[in-house]
Amino acid sequence: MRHGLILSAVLHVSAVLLAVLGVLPGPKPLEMPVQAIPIEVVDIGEITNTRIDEKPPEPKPPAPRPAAAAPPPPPAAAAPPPPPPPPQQRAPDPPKLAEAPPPPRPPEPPKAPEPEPVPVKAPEPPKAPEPERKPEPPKPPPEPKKEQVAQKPPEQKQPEQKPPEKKPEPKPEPKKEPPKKDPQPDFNQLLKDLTKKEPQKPAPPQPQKQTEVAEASRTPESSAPRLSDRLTMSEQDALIAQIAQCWFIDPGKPGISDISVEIRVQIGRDRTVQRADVVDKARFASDRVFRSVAESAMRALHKEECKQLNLPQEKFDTWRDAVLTFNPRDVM
Amino acid sequence: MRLKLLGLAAAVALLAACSSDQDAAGTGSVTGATSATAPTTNAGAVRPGTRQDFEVNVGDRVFFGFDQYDLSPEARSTLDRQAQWLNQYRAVTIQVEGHADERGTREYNLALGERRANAVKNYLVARGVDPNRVGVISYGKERPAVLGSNEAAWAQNRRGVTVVQ
Amino acid sequence: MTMSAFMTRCDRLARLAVLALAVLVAGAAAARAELRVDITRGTVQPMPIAITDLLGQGQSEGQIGRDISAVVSADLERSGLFKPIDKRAFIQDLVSLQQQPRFADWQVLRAQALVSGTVEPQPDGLVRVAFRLWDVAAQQHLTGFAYRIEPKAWRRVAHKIADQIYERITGEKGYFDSRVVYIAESGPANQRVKRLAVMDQDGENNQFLTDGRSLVLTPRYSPTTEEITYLSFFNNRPRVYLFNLETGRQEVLGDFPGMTFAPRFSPDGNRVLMSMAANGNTEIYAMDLRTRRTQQLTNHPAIDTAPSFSDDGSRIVFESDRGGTQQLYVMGADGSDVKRITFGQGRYANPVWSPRGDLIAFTRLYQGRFYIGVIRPDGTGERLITEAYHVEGPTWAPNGRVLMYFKETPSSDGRSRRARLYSIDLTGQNEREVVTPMDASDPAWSPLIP
Repeated sequence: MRHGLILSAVLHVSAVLLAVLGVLPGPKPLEMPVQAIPIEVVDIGEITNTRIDEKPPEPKPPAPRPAAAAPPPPPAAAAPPPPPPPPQQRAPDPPKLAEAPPPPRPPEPPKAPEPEPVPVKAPEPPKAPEPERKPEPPKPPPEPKKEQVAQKPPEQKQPEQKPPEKKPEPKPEPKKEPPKKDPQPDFNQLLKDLTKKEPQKPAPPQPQKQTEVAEASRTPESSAPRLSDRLTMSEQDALIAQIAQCWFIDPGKPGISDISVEIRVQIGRDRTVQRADVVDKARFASDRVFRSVAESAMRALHKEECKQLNLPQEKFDTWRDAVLTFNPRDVM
Repeated sequence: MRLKLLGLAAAVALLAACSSDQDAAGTGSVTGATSATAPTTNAGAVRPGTRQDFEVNVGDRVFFGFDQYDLSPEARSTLDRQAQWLNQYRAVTIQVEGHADERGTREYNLALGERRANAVKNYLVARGVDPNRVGVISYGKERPAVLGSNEAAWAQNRRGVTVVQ
Repeated sequence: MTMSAFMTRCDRLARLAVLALAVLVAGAAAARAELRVDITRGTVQPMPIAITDLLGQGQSEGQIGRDISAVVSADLERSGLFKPIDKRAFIQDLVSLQQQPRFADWQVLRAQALVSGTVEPQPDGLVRVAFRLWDVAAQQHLTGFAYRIEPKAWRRVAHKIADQIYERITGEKGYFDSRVVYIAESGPANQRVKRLAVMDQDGENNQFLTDGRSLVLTPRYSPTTEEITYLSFFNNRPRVYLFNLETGRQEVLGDFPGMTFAPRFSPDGNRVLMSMAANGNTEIYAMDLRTRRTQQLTNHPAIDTAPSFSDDGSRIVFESDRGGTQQLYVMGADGSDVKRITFGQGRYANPVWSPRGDLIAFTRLYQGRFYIGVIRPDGTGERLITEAYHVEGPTWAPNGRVLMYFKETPSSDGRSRRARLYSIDLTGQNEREVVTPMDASDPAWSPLIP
């Protein structure tokens, strides 16, 4: 409400100005005070006196840390993370580095000058502080490009699933060219599509199948004692179901269905995760989307509902060391 | 100006007054508003050769089918009268406005309106009107003649209007 | 089951010794191997995040801290990817939080991420706004920044902070520190007054750029965010204009014999695409803003319009009715190699290439309804994500994740209509109105403000 009022006031004031100044076809000064104010990104090191006991005062960017291991064994965190790749996109990034909590960081002199452009349309001349305006323009364009490169590739693949996918739409008009689009297995049903009205739940079938297979194999022949050294399909399914509930995914992330994150975990006898590490540390450090998916997987293992895993106690030796591969393809 | 200022100040206090305030601040004049409004019923007062004369005694508009720009027999008949009138009052210049109904996207409708306006212009020129006297402009779906979202309204909005300058 | 136990068994079953041994070896190896499990399903839910008020040292700093947190919270919430936790549930006090988060206090709230920070006055009259983002489960510091700003710039900083948080958590760049140019509408439908207006992406800081005397339509932001190109009916001559936001200067682009409209910037900002309609035919042209030279890109008696450059500037998607109805086509930036990409019933219009490059958004008309949809540049994967009597004109957020468009709703008597802006996630979820002070249409998102 208050915002509305303020907004309205601002609007009206501008309207008055417009009227008073007799604006019009001619060049009219716009006032966008906010935009004109330079924002200076400074070293965050000094930002607080926070001491993060857990991690040594690494002056480096935080990002790198390959998914910190489970809470208990903080060692993982110590891993010398490479510089955070993502940050370097926009102007202000550089300062990021400073973020290490280490109080050691000296005063702000370091990045202070960061010309954080704030160019924007500030009609008002008072841009005083930052002299260099030139630098600003160049940035915008490049950014988008970079991102895409990384993201584009993913979507085309995906095999399975019913091919036509177009059927929902009215059959293509007479035009002879029947879009021979490949059977794009289009991504998930998680993506809304008003053209397809028929609800088709893909997920269910699979698990069932697996279960069946599992039971079949388990009961008969596989009754051999050695198999007790492995998790049955049913047992695996139980684990998968549990973790799937804890794992929050974002179906709109670019290339999400092609991202597969392996996490090596050590599980204690109490069935809690003692340690977890992302296997592909290089990609974790260089691919922001991969990192975010990996981190979401790590968070899943930290969730209350997944603190203690659904595993058969007696098969401890079979699951004490495990590699969990997170890939939301079935969701799609 | 002062009054306007006061009025605006008052409006600030009244959140709800936004739209009316808009009218005050934003000058009521609308660019190229269709002149088709205010038909004069007082035919007796119409002076020959004027815009009123044209609108009242000739007919200033023709209509088109959905997403079409070809001229119907009725449209041709109207344009024949327009051409005759224009050939009589050779000092008059006109601008043909092309309009579309609301069932199209903005930019496509601008192009469609231009097609319609040209269809009208070309017909008039073919009937002897000097092309230099005929300007065209498209308003797309920006200036409906009739309000409403129904076939009757749409049919009247898909039009070509000849405006005497 | 130990190795020796197996051995004894094997001894007893001499006849199966060899076989058993083989099994044994295999089994032992398996036991030592890691368990491998594929998690191919997950849950689609926004991430619970605790966004605390930035701690201010004085009265005014405290207010700034609260204001910033409110905006950060609103930004993240509106994205649909985060669920800010009610502040009233917070346990740890702000002061001790600045020393070190007590993660257990935040885990109890089921927060997965935590935002803390401070606002401190500076001797030069500026304030320093600093924030930190924490991973609650991993008890880890994820990122942090500080900004020195004039106090009145707090809102922009809030958007920048929201962008940093969004980027660090999702891996995609944010889009909150951006603006939207649109057409503010008022007055009756047949005499609509339309004005250029700009506002922050969240609807704040609304400002008018033109007074409504001339009809204006379809604005677009330049990649530098310093200019806007749009269509104006100034002097009854519909032409494409350029509006310089810094100087307020407006100029006509080019000297065309006919109406020019549907302007779009190239990704590098050096060119503007536009359509020119003359003699009943509409073609697409490109103008180089440096040389002011124009190049005709299409040449077909049909209506070719609504162009949009691909993210890398190498291709252009546009609409044409050359096939009988409006459909989408893709061609090279020089007009070569035209290829149709849509074949559905109805009509496809105003395509917009995503800055992410992976999708093209469009408006589709089918059986009297309007839809907003997305499709891959190769013509596959079409999805319609929203529909209404009239929705039109999608525009992408700078990160290619969210779309904004306008929706017109006729009043019950059909004599008037309400026009509003909406945003929606490209997944088709999270549709929301973007509040504007009056009717609004033709939104165009700016890039992230440099």
